[in-house]
Amino acid sequence: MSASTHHHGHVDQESIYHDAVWHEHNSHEPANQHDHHDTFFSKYIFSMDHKMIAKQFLVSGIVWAVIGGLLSALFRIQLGYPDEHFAFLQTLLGHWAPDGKIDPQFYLALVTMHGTIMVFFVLTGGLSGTFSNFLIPLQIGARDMASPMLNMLSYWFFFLSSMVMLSSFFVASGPASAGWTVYPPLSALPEAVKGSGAGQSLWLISIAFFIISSLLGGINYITTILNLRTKGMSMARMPLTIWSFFITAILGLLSFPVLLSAALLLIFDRSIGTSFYLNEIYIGGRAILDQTGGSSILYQHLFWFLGHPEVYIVILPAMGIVSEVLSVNARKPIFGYKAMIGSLLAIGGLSFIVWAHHMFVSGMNPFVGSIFVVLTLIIAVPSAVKVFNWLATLWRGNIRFTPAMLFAIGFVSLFISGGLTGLFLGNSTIDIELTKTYFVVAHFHIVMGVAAFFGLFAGVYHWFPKMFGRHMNSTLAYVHFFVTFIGSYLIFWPMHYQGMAGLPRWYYNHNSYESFSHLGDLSKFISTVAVIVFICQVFFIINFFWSMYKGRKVTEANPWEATTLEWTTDEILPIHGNWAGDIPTVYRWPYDYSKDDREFIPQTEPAREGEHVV
Amino acid sequence: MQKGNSIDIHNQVSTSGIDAKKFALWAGLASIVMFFIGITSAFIVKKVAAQAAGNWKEFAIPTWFYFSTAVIIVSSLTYWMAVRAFKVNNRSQFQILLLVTTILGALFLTMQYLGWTRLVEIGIYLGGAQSTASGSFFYVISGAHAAHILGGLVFLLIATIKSFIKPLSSFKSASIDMIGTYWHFVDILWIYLFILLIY
Repeated sequence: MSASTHHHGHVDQESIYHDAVWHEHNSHEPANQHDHHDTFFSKYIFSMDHKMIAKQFLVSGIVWAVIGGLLSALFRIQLGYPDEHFAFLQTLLGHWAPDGKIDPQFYLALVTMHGTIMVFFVLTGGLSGTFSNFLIPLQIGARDMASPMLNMLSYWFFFLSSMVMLSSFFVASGPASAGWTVYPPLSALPEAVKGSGAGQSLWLISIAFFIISSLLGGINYITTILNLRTKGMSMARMPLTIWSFFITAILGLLSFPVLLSAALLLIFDRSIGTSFYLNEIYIGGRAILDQTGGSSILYQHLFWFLGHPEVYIVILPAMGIVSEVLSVNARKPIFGYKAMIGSLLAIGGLSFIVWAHHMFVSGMNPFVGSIFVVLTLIIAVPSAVKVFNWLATLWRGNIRFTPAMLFAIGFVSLFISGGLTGLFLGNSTIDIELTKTYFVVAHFHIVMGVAAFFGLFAGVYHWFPKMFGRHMNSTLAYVHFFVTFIGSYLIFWPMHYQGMAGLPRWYYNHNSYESFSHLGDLSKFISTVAVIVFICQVFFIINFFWSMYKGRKVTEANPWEATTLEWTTDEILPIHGNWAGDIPTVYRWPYDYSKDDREFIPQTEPAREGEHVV
Repeated sequence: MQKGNSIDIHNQVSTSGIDAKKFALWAGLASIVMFFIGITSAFIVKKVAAQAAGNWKEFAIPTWFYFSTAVIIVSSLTYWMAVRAFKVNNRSQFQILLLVTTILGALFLTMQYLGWTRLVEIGIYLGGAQSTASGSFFYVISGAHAAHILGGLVFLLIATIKSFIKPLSSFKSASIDMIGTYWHFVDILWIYLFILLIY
């Protein structure tokens, strides 16, 4: 390894500088060649290798997804079959399901924990944690994150947070039950709902650890992307995956601390007897608080200042992954690369000034509401740009229907379907009718729940060969895709009708009121499909873990014939440090597909005589 | 170079020309700023609404907080002088100024504590039946800030001890700069918070 590998093409002052510095830092062997033995602990547990940390996030995310999915299957059984008793529920849940019927208080806990787990632990930790960690150093050409140490701590705070949240299932009064948004006063008073006792305390502690994990991760992602890109990798040559992780990290860095401040004040209200959020509250005709003067609306503002960027923290990485997978498998450059970056920036910026659209019925001044309506609807513009560009990328492409590609196309479909209902809900006049109904449940599940899951699946199927050096089984993957895709629409599409018919969220039994009892059959249908789709995820889980050890071995360095740097490592399973030799230099953008009669041109290939490169 | 043993993972060269760890600190400060923006915007909104409703309880800020404000400003100054001493390789001056900064930092926390006990004496409580929003916010905001001072103090203390037992050459100039950035930051942060609280 020597500086000679840097002497491609033109030599400007900057590259001379880099050569000098890099030579000094990255090639001082063998003087520095200390023997370094990886123990089980340093390799798999307290690893500082970004690739191993990514796998830790991924496996943790899968475990959480199974738990979160199971909870939804359980409460869908209650909603679909409210009058029946199932012996297995009592076996599984004990006193939370006496006589095989889920206890109403525990039903609320199930819904709350389903939301919390899916939003934070799966679609933030599992999605962003996995792919930001795995792809940032590999795709920008860095040996690791800027601070491998903070990166390791980020995972272990996530793990600690996970354990605290998991432990809340085992306290006598049950886990948090006030909804994933934990609005006070419900979340502050155990007298109001049992879960607001110890379960809610654990929830808050867990989320505080989660925020620390998320901040440590985000600081690292941003620093790494801005400071450790390889030579030639200008910002305008970064893959869209990296752009999306970058903007996601900025959103997290600026919004999670506000959630921490909201949680801190809630902790004080719950345990010290302050009244930031609480005011004269009567339960059962009895005033239960000494202190007065707080405002629960204050909590909603603070919460949604995080909460709204959070939904983009969930969806932006999926958008990045989908852009990359679509382009690779359509064998075409992504359509409108700069518009894609611009729309990511626009969505990221707008996400901070639309939070009050979650609060149209909180009694806010209708004029203020109308401002938030306008700002919210503007998001449709960058969103539409993205959809147009994805469709234009597919247009007349030479499409390879790999499992990852199917999930990416599925993502686009779901994002369109779910995005359109966002136009309904963004209008305060319509939202006031539809809020707190199943229409909202349908909207956000399609647009950010299922869609983000599809981004996650696309990413796993696409980068599995790089992660584990083996291929996943395609047949199982196709079954997984079609059942999940069709099933998701069958679950959430009917919910729009239920919502327009006025069916409220949160209700324990849809047959309790005559007005909604005619929707019972539809609920039964939804529940049946939901359980089938949940069980079908077994196809993914088995495929994932089986392929890790027994899958077909990857033999070629670049199985998808992609242009990006992660496929240029010396070994199929990269070492810690990623490239055994010098880090490759980048000469072009990542989307040179089907150019000049070439199938694809890697980013590491210098421009030919007279070739125009981006 | 088969195993990659000589690849330096922990000291990668920044390609932007900015020290990556310094950059990471600034990113971290941005998140702290957002935390305090969240909590102080809650304070402002609450205060304006309560004043309009006529139930915002005013109280006299104990003098301790004015003293502590002066102390933290002086400590920033002494740290700035310590950095100057470091740059001209004046070890003894560096040691003393670091020590003074650390002591001033500890003094700040002590004065905050004395201020809080004084508040309790005049009947301003954090929680409970007699607490009011104005008092609760005062404790929570100044307490959250004190936690951030404590974090900085740990690094100051480590640097001070190190300055007495290790030669100057064992210090990385970037680390000295980063402690300074953080310390000046929490100083300025307190000035902002204090003005907000007494206003």
